[in-house]
Amino acid sequence: MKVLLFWAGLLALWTVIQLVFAPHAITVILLGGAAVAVALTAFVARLARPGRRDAPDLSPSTPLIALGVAALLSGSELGPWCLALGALMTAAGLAGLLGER
Amino acid sequence: MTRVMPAGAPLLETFAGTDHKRIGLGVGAVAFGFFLAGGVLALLMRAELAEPGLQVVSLSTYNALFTMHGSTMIYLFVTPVALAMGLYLVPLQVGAPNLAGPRFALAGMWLLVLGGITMWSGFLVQGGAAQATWSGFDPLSNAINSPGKAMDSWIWGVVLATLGELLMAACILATLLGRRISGMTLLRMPIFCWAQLVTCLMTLFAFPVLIGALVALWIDRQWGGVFTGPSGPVTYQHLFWFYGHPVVYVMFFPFLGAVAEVIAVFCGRRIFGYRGMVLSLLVFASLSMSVWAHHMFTIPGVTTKYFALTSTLLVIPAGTEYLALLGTLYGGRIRLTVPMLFALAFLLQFLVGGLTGIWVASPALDNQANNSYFVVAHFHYTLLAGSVFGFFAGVYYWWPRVTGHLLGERLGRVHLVLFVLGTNLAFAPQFALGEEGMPRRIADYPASAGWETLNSLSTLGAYLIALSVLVFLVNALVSRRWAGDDPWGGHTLEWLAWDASPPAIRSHTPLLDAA
Amino acid sequence: MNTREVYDGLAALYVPIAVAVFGLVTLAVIVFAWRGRRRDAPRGPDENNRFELVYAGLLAVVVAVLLGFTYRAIDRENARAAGPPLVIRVTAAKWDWRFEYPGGHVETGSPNGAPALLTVPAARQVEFQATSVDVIHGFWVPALKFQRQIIPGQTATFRLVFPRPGFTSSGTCSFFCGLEHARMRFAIRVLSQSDYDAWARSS
Repeated sequence: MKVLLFWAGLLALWTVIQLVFAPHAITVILLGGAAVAVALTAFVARLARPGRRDAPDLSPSTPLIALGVAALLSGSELGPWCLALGALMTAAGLAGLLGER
Repeated sequence: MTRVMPAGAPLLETFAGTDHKRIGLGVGAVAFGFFLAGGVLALLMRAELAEPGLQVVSLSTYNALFTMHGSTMIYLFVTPVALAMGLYLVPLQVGAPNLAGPRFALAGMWLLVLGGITMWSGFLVQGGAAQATWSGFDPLSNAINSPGKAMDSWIWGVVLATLGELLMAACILATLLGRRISGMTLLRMPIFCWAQLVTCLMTLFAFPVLIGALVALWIDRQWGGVFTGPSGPVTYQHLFWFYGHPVVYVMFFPFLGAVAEVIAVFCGRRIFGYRGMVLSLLVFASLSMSVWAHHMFTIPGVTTKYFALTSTLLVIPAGTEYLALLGTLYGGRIRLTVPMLFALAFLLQFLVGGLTGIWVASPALDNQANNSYFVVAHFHYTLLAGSVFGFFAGVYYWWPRVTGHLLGERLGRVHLVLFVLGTNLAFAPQFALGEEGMPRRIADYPASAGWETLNSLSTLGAYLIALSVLVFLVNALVSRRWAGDDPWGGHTLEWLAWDASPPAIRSHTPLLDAA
Repeated sequence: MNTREVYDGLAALYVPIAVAVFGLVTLAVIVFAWRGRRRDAPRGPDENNRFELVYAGLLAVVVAVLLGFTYRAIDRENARAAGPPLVIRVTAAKWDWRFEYPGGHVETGSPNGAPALLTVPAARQVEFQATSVDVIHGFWVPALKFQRQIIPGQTATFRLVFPRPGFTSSGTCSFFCGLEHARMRFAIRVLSQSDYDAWARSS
């Protein structure tokens, strides 16, 4: 999409101007990396075909997946029982998601 | 297309519904709840700072209070509420039946809720909640200096909430780019939609860096080896601020967009200089990705001249946006409704924040202001006196669209006056305090410093703000005036109900043209 | 560098511009709102590209002026005067300061809570070489309008000039460093060159 490419161009411009000021590598990589990422997204967006399937009105699998991911992360603090619960919920949620199509 | 929220929705719809209005309202309600919680933390902080000496809380508790206040307001209130407005309004304004990929937005809502709970669970841990500031600077935040589960909970809380915000932004952007009704080219979109577009661009390309930095921090806390070495702390700051600057514009543009819509409607005309405004938004957002190390001016070796250049260049798009809004006012037939009054207050108060932002964009001036109450005043003027005023302009304006009722005008004016008095009383004195040498993030200050009077005034202002929010809550609960279809004479599609045939879009203010 | 002079000079440019801009915009909002309330119908063009371009050009000029003076201030603060400076080594730790003078004398905070005392000569470049042993701290002297982050593993080197003898002031840690950050302060005493030499000899 043109808007994304234009924005990527602006980011690239600000990156190139950095070079006048003897920058550290990290600042060039961060901003230049963002410019590249935006440009890539523009191409992906052009190629992507929007899914014409409407989402169902209700999707209980979605909050289940979110809960599962949160439990997985918290499991690193709370213990293996939480990790197991999180893995279970995420798997169940993903399975349910496939069924929602 | 239904006009208002389906009434009496069962619990399952609240938890698992994919309608964008329900998700937007859910995110908005959760975020507003965190606003109140974060506000209580601020009131405790201001109670402590009113006088020298520790009267209210301990050192450790105070450090947790300001860490959680900043974290709550940024990660859990202003950022998600900005996106919530987009979730609700963007599909309506572009004529789409729903968001693109609404299940991602629904997941985002739940990740936000769970992230907030995880972050706040730190208060239940012995030793109290995280105390390493909302930025989690290394090495303060590493395993040696911030041991314990509260810090890890904070990390995962921020990661979850940020991931949720990423998903929401992806949906909004996909809707803007791919689901506009036929005839609505990008340059016919409402300004609010353009504001959301650049907001989502910044979110999508800056927020992942925060997630990476915090995951790296977590790994460092478990096993070390990530931020070790003399360049570790500075690397962390680069990664953090690469997110930390764009996020403040994510917390600004949607409310600027709301203010633009409100001003146009209550001037009875289109935004002046629409194309200039669109270009400014794009340039402003791109610059905002390039300025981050102005938060690091006081680190020896940072390329201060480059970041001073990009930071000061912001004057150009910002000034152009002000020209557009002032130009709209110039020829308008003006109705001073409550949303319009909030919008005008935003214009003047945000300006204070913006001008002081240009001040600290100069490294020699920032050498004094950095880490002082000057900076605290600066960002509260942009975020509270600015963005939150824009938020309320949008709330009062779109309330009838969402609920079918109008908020009371008289209570609204009381809210506004108290809020204006409160924010200025709370934060104007802080510019002076910073200049005089009061650093930020201190639980206490010496009596000999002579800072008591200004701090007491600031505390009074904070409590006035709280009172004003109470007035708003009363207004929201009590006001039942029926609004009708289009109480304000709105310009954009969310005010139009159509059943069979959508309107033909001929200009960037489609409703205004429909004759 | 005399950081106070650099700061005051730059502020003398920035403050009037900021005040003028705020005043103009406030006036515009009030006048436009006042006149707009009395109007029967909105009027005026929806855009004026030439006006906007000229206006943006004016903003660019303002930016160039601000940046020009800002760059000059940065250069002045980084400038090194000729001749060897007096070097004081600063070590920051949770939650106190350690000043090491040439000749080996060391000052830190005392056990009864009195802050570490920094003694410096007046009107002469003092070079600070500052490091931290634990977390990031901030060395801030508000009276001189200057601060630097003090980062573990790195040495921050900067030069300051203190004004007249008899000047007493304080400094503080400006970068949040944990529990007792609020208490991490130091005192500053400025002596004439001869008094300073006498003090240095006696300690």
